[in-house]
Amino acid sequence: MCANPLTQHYKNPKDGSKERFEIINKKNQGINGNKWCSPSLKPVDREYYTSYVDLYDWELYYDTIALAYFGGESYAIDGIKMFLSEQRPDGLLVAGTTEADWEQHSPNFPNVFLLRRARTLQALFISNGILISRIKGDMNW
Amino acid sequence: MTAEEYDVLKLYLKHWFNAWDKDGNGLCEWSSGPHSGSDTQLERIGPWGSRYCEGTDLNCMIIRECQAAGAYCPYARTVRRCNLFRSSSKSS
Repeated sequence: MCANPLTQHYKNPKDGSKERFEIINKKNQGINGNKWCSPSLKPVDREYYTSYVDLYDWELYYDTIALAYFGGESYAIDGIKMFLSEQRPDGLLVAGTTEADWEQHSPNFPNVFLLRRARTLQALFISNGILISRIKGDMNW
Repeated sequence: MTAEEYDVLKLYLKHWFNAWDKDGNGLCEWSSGPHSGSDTQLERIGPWGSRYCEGTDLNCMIIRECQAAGAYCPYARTVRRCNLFRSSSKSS
């Protein structure tokens, strides 16, 4: 099985990829901010980088690819944690930052998402300390 | 992943079955075209809050969610829940 080329790049950053990430990060701050702050969601004490104007659950998938490439794995993990931290008591996870998304259950599918993200980042651990990427073998992705 | 985060994921999955299966036939529905990601498909999938499209894509992904949740469980030592999610994915 071939390794994910993005993951390889993350483990062995070359060509100043981390510095490049910082440059893009600063540029984005000047446009619409790269921090999680929205009128429809209360700000949390995390930062997130997104290449989009608004933040929607699906976009985490695509952002993660770029973040892994640029060495922004902590941002990627914080991205999903932000959505999880805003869960309503009945279980609903909001689908995005717009007002209408408050009433729509996130089709982000975080269980699948976390497994796929772990496959990309190879850096998530579950509570008992076993590397979550081992789980992917159970699922025949 | 912490135990609290795992509980959030579990509750998220249950919410699909508790709140998004309006007619109780075991198939969940999209709220609208934009909810599905097909922002311009308002006639096929419905406008905001219409909830009539029991999309194949949605329900296939929910099965995958059940499988993913079932994969977490052995490591989180919650065998009973694991079987519940696995049986949910098979019966769906």
